[in-house]
Amino acid sequence: MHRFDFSITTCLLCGKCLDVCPVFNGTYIEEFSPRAKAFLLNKLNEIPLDLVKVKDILGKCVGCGRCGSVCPQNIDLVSMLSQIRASNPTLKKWAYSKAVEHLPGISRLLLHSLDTLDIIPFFKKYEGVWRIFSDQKQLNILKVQIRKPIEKREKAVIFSGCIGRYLKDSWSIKAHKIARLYFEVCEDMDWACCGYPFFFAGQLDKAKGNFEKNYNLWKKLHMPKIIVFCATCYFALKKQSRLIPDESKRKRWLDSIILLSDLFVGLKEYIHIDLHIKEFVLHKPCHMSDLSFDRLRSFFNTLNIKFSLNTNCCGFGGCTRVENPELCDMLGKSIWDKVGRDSVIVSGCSGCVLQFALTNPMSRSYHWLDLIDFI
Amino acid sequence: MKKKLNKGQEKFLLSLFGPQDVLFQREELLIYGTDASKEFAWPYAVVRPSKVEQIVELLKWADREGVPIIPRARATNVVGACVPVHGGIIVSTLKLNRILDIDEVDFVAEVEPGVVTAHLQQEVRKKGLFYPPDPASVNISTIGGNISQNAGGLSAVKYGVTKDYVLGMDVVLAGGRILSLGGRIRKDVVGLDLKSLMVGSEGTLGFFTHFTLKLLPLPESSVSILVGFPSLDELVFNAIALLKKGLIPSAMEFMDSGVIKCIKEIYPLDVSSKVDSLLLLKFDGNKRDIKYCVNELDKIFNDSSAIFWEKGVDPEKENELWEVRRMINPASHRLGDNKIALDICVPRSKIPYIVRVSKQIGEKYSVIVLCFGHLGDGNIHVNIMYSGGENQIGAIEVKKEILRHTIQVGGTISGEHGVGILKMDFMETQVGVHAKKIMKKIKKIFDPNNIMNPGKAY
Repeated sequence: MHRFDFSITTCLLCGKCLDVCPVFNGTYIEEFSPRAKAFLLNKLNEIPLDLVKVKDILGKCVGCGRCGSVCPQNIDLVSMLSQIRASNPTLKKWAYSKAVEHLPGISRLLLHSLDTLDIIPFFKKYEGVWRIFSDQKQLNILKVQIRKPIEKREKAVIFSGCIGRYLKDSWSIKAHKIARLYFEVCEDMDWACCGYPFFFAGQLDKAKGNFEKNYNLWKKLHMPKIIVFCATCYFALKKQSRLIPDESKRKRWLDSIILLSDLFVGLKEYIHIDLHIKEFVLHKPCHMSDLSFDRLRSFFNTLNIKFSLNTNCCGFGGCTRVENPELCDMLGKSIWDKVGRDSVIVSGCSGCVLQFALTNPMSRSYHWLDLIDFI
Repeated sequence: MKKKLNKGQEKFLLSLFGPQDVLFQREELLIYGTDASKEFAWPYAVVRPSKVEQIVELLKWADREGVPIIPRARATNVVGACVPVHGGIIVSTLKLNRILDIDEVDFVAEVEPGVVTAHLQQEVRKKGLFYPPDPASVNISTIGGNISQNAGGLSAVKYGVTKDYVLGMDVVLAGGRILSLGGRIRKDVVGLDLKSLMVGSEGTLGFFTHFTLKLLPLPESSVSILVGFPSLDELVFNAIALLKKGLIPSAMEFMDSGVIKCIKEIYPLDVSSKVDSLLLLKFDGNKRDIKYCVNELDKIFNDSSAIFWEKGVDPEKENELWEVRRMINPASHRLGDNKIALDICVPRSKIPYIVRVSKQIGEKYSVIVLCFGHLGDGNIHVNIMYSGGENQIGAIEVKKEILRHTIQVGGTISGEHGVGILKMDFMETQVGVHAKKIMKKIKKIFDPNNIMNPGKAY
């Protein structure tokens, strides 16, 4: 077992993170709070502590990053936990990383030969969910009718993310249709995963390797706009810009990444509503900026569609979902308990949509792309 | 850490709370040894009650066994009130977090101690009601913690502090007896006011399990104003002039020249270099009163030495003005990794003097001192910024000298944070030997074996 070779000395113990941490607010267990984790890391080199127990506490994090967003000292606990995981690999995280890495193959197993799922207990546990999730009917309440292209054409490419690419290709198809209204859309590329699952699991080399592959593909296409419809993919692609040493290229990369919902909200004059659901719950993904979420919210407001908001974290948790499935299940279920188990939840992050499906298999958990229909 | 509980004692706690809600392992106990003061001491154990009956049994047992009990909610206090300096059992109130009732006729709320203050405010607002106390930690601190420390906040100038909103409470005493004090009544002159004695007692007299809180009708409207003055003397003079006119703000904050300078480092605060001090005001009430207020303020500031004033009449603009105030904490940390945060309170007339003296003392020890806070109450947040060990020794000296001057001008060493362990040295200087002895004797009546948060406050 390696000792951890850094500590957080800047934490003020002010407790601002307590207000936003889904794990703390879901459990009322203070030792799982970001403040407690920061203090634990701070004392590691001063006090003899059992590292197995320390890792168990540090592992109670779903990687939402909300603590960092309110921290007056800008402590990025998620990145620190990622580095700790990197220096202390475990079998479960390895299995999780392999699962993400081989999602193309696994998705075929998930959707077509469920008997073989025994090899990965995590997937086996939720075996009924995958097909429901994949085959779920779309809502199609927003009918989009476009007569002419809206803006002048630049080149763009769609980044569907792993879930959009392998489990929900209907999202990719719709994303293409929307993007084509604004851009000349290139053919799909063989993108690697956005890297966030690897990053949080501490598989930093893999995260970096994926980024390099994606960055090179982008350069090969002469640096087009990259249209992303998963808030976490968008967050990860932007965050990884720090791996680009050249400042002008880094800026170009950052400018090129566009969240699809930011584009879509500009289409409201072309939309008719065919409302066959009473109302829905609009969920704010942790990795979607307040600005992008406000745009989506105002968009639905101006269409006079009835919806309520959920701003609590879904609790998907990345590799924590494999290591502490009970914790992630509890957090997801607590949202269903709050909004009502018969509700329709709409999100702009593929991970949230999957998490809501995993924690209420008979539920109606949707990406906002499921709401639209082109006529 | 010396192990202070024997097997039998551990077994008792396990049987009372169940294995999920008792902690003995160091890795789990660690965070419970500290709070926002950054002081630290090891507890023996942590328990998480979810029922009052468990607390009654715990306090019967602890009194018999002589084991210290330290109530703890979210531990956001900055004076070490939750640090178990004599060991003992931390009792977390996080699972006692229900709002039991909000009554629209009696204008009261009944709550458990672990309710977050801002959550209560949101819930009562839905019914057109208002719980005014708003300490800076309002989003993260709890009603139980606020009552234990008698928390103040921005709105104290108009609405008073936490104690003004506590109508009743249940307290479990050492030995397990439950004391019910007050209730939904607004007036009560029968006997000694034990309820007020409990508020601000920092967990030293008993364990609070239930509160009845006073609510007000929600103000209809508000306006905020940021005013720049060429000196702090001018600012205080004009602030008192508007109070004399009967314009009582719901917040009256000031920021000195050092604060303005450090905010400018991280925030586009567009004020001329002639501005030495800022006054930030908020008024709330019905729409007609607010309109009158805005007219009067224009008149007052037109005739004053104010360099500029900017009004926020809609929530967005108000929020923008208050962002300046919110920037103080992050901006201050540019000046040092650590700070000693004092919350002295002096007569309003003494504010310019104490700010000037504080800065001079800081200069003497080469430590930056920032002054801002609740002008209307004379409650000044003095932040002594430092980095590293050598600097820390100077900062401690600065703290001692500022507190001495505060007491000399008739002020108090703490207007709202409490004493905890960090201000114990100055407690006696302020209140006197005799008053301190009386406080100790009072504690002995409630807690003869000194198990309730020992070593704190007085």
